Amino acid sequence: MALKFLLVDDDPHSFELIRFFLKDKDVELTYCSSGQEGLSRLRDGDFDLLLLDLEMPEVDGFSVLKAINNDDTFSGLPILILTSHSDVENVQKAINFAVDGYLIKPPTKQNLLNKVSKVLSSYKTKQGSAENPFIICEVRSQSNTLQLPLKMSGIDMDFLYLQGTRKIESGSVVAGLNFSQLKDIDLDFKRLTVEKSEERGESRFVHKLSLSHCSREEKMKILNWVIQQS
Amino acid sequence: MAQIETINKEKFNSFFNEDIESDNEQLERLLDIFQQQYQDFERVCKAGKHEDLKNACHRLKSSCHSFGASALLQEMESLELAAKEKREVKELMEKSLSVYLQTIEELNEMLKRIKEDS
Repeated sequence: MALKFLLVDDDPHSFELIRFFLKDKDVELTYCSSGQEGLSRLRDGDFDLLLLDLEMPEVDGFSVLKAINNDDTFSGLPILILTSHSDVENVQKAINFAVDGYLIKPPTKQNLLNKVSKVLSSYKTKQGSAENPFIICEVRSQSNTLQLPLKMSGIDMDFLYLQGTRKIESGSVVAGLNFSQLKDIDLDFKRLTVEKSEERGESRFVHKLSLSHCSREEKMKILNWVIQQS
Repeated sequence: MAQIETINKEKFNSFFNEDIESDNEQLERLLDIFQQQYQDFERVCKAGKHEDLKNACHRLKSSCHSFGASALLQEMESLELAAKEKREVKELMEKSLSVYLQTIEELNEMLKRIKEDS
């Protein structure tokens, strides 16, 4: 059965290019030229991947992301951002919406295919059909200590965002956080305090952890790592 | 200051040979879209609304990158910024429209040569 991709982008050149890049793949590509139309198509169809432009008139990509985050129906939908914006501010903003990938336009065929494969394989991982991407962390609240699976979701200059399947009390301390993927970064996450734990769809919570004790250099190292992974 | 070339041949060739796999028909389709977008761009320029102008310039940047249209890309970046900052855009618009037409003309010439060679 063909995979169903939805492309939301106001630039017909991008559509024509992506259609061409995917023509030999077992993919059914639906195209919407506005954010509004994209949201309505998303609600009608069961898509395997959303390819989303950020800069669009009226309903832009960030508004689409916001609507997706506020609607449980879209929980688990893999999202790949396609944009001409390569500045850190936009990348950070998109990462904070827990998007699965970020690609600068116009992509080359190889870049697009590689990124799509990466996003889809990480999605399969999320669904539990491959290795578990979550890291077991120790979460200490006032009342108890739990071992919880958490994974990296995003970062900005003040907070690290982790994703998990259950709510964590504000003020809890995530300790012994040792992301295997962060081995190259000489950082010791001994005490990161959870400021807020927000529900983002069915069984999906994003936890906001303060990085106030990290130096600017340490934060930049983590930020660069997150951007490379996206 | 050295004049920026209308089409960067190296970038164009890389796009044509690698990304669209030397497919003449695909190049023609993309060029058709690029020419249709000129009508939209001209209409937006005539209306002169900063927000629409900013969006139109942004939208055209992908095509410029793909085709290696360096001069038009530079115009689009300047005009997008001016529209974003709500500055006077008349001169920039006029120059952009002229560079756009010149770009279309060169691309059509290149397509013609590609077709003759194949």
